[in-house]
Amino acid sequence: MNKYKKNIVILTASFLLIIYFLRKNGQVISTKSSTIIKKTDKKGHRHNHKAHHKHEQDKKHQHEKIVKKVSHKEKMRQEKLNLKFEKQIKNYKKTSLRHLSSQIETEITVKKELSNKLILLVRTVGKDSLAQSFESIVDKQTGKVIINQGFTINENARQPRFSPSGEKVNQ
Amino acid sequence: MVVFRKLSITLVLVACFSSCMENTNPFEVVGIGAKERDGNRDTTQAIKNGPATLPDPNTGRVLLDSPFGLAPDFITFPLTAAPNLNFLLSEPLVITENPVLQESCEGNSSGVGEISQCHEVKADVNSTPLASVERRWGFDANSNEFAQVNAFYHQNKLIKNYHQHLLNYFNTVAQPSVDPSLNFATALPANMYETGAHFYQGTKLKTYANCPQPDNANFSIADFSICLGFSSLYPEVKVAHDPSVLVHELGHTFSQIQLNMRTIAKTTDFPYRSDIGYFFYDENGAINEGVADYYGHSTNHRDEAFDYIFNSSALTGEGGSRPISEANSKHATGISTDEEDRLAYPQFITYMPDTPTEVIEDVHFGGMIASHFLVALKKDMEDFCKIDKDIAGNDLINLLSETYSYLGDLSTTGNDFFAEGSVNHLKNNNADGYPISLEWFSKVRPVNFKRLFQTFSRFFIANYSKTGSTRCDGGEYSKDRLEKLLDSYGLLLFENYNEDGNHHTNGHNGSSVTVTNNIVEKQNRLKSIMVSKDLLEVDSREGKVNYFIFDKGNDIRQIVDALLSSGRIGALSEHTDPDLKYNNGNGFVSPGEVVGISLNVYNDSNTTLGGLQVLASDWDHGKMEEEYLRPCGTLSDSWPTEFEGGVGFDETTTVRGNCNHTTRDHGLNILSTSEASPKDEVLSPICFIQITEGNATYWGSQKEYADNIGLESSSCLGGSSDTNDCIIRVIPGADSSWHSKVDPNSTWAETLLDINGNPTFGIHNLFLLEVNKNITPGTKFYCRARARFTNCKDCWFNENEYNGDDYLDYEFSGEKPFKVLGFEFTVVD
Repeated sequence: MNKYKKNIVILTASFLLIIYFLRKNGQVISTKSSTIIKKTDKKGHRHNHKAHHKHEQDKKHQHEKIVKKVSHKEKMRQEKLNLKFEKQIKNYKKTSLRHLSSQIETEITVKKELSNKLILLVRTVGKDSLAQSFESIVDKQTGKVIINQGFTINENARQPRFSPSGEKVNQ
Repeated sequence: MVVFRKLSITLVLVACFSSCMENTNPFEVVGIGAKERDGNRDTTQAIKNGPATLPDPNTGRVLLDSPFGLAPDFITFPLTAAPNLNFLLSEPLVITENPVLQESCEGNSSGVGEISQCHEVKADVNSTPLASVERRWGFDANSNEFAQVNAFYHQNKLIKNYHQHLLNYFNTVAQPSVDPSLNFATALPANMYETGAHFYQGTKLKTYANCPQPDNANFSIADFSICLGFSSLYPEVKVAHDPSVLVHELGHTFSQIQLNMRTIAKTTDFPYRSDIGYFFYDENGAINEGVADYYGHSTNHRDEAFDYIFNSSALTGEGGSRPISEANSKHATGISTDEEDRLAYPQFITYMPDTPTEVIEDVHFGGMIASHFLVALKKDMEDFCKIDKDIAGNDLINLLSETYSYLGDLSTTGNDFFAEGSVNHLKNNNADGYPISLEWFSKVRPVNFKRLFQTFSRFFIANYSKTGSTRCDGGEYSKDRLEKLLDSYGLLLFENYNEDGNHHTNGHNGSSVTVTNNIVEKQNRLKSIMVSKDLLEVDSREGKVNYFIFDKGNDIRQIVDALLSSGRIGALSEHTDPDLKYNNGNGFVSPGEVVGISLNVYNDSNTTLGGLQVLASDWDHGKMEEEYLRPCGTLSDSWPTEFEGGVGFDETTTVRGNCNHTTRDHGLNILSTSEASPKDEVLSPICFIQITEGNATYWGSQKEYADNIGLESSSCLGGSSDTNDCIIRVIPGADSSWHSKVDPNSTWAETLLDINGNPTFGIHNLFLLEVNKNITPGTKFYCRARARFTNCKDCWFNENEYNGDDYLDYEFSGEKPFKVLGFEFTVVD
């Protein structure tokens, strides 16, 4: 074996040794990126992945539970509030929406209770499926409207146009 | 063995490559069209976007721009089919560390005001926020789930960016706790973060990414939600794929937040809020569309709003995009960035780039003047001041925060150190039970092109033009330069910057030690032409009509439905028939009807008028005498004479309750007066009625008429508690009409003509009257509406008084800022 061949054998052996030790320590040299990526042993990895996946699923379910719970709680609160002011909502419909045609769907909920007023959230859907909403501030006792606010800003809502039915000159 | 494996892999790759090549074009068709997009993605392969393809938790892929902006260069537009979005996906990015699409908002530097659930994205109103899968946000790019992730990514990015810049501005520039005399009078409240006013009192913003609305997107203020619909032509194309539309909607959201910063921070148990628009067309709404378009530009720096889904250049058959700079090629010939070729107010308020020979009264097109000005200013800051485009974009957003915070302040101070009553008059409730400040903001002294750009400019010069400022390339951005730019857009419509506000006693202190009004340099005004209100009149030319009547049953049904379902009006009278069956369409005012009126207002000047508004709400033009309201005969319209029932002719001193005195508190009589025994001021409805007693006739109040004919007060249209408009009532909320512009020597009806040469009236062009069904046919009414317009030289100030300082708020209860327009009608059965 000449000197050159000897060197190659030593270098190869050294390289293999390094690979062996690195593998033993859970590391591998990626020739592509030249970065050292931490790698756990296969068995442990599988176990940890399963555990991790389970943990993730648990966390997700837990969060979903919380979201559902919050949403349920909110629904209950809303229903309670609507029930508490059922009379006012009824009166609001009777007075404020009396002149609205029946083809327009409406949904009214109590958004907030204040010391002497209520804020109602009114949602409407028109014949053309245009959905809108607004806040109606009403008297807490009677449900009589004080003022509406919070109108929907639509990017594409066609407004009807009209021709006059009469034109007048002052007498 | 190794050789065999290598061969197998190569074969698989070749097979995959050839099959993938069939889909290398994400856009199934190649169309023709202008290519203005500046972004492109050199992608030739669809990316799989399942959770397993995402190495890191909390990540997902998104569309970093709209598909139009991301498309590879070899694609030409417009498309005729929905593209496969999997070709356009980004590298994995962090979406949120939360398990659902929900994020918090930061508070101030100490963490005060942090909102834990600040905003979220979900499919629609009935859904819960989307949850991650295996802690990753990987979904096929053409799925509904992806649309939610994509919308969330852009929403979160913009809200974070907005809050970061606002906080920095709050801490380092505005500094609301510092006395204005040592800094400037910021409108940001010092307790903004403590009260959650930086994000609508901590209200959670919900965005519905799969909203079932075709060809639409909206911002619902009441629900505090954004609805992102879809294309009816290409149902797979969602608004949620187009960040430019989402940013526009978020622009509306920020404006609504800004308008109410002071109201939220400075009031308690006060549910009232300022809105970004009140009528189907008004200048407040138009400007806000322009402002929302500007938010898009500040994000993508493009010259066109709505990139993709509503853009005919991107998708065949779509429409709705609009230029936001004169540099955009969609503009008509003759429009350019040269000073004389810009989109000037009011000529271009009805301009449609696609069909420049036609006119339209629409907030989206009307808002282009505002967006073009803001974009031009931003570009000037970039070019002249050498300010980075993102910084310039965000700086102007901070100034919009100041502007809206001031203008929308229902607490009426405008600055933490100023007195109540400085802006929007008074926060006390009016006769209808809601704050006068809201009445002022929404209708009496609303946001228009004069008011918004005056206020914006005031904050701009306080930031950029003050002596010693180094923000513009180491120096100042001069007031002169700003005024010239404003003028090139026809927006230099004010005489001074009104730093002293509109308080009923302090509002002209603009040359005092503490407050100095900056004055506009008159030489800078070349294009912003202002006209006297005296040149406005009800059309009296021969053969012309004074007003138009709308009383057809079907029309009124549509109008009432539109107003009630949108909330613009609260209710009709309980005495008005629910089926509107009295509406006979005879073109006259008849008993029991709901009637629309549009005054035929003539512009007797050689200049186009913009933002004509006719107010039909109650005002101070009457006086209590012998227990009844009587019309003042001493106003500029010289109606009625003393013999016809007019009063006020014998007044020698200006005291409360007199015709020559304007109420300081909108008829509430709550402000203290030094008079020994002050009389009460009373607001009058616009219409007086002709009363006959024996052989005599005179103009009197509706209550007096009702008493004379023995009508029970409970039969009055407003009920027994409101008898002044017993017989004819202007419906609250429909008590003002807006007209975008009136050409010289023309009326609105001669200006806004459709392609057939006819005027087409929208609901915003009318005010509505209810008529008591108990009225005797033949009864005559005389009504006094008040009109004014935006480019008016004596509707907002008098150039010869107080250096052109703005009129005080209380004066808008009276005649001074308006032209009184009288009209008469007889009730006909």
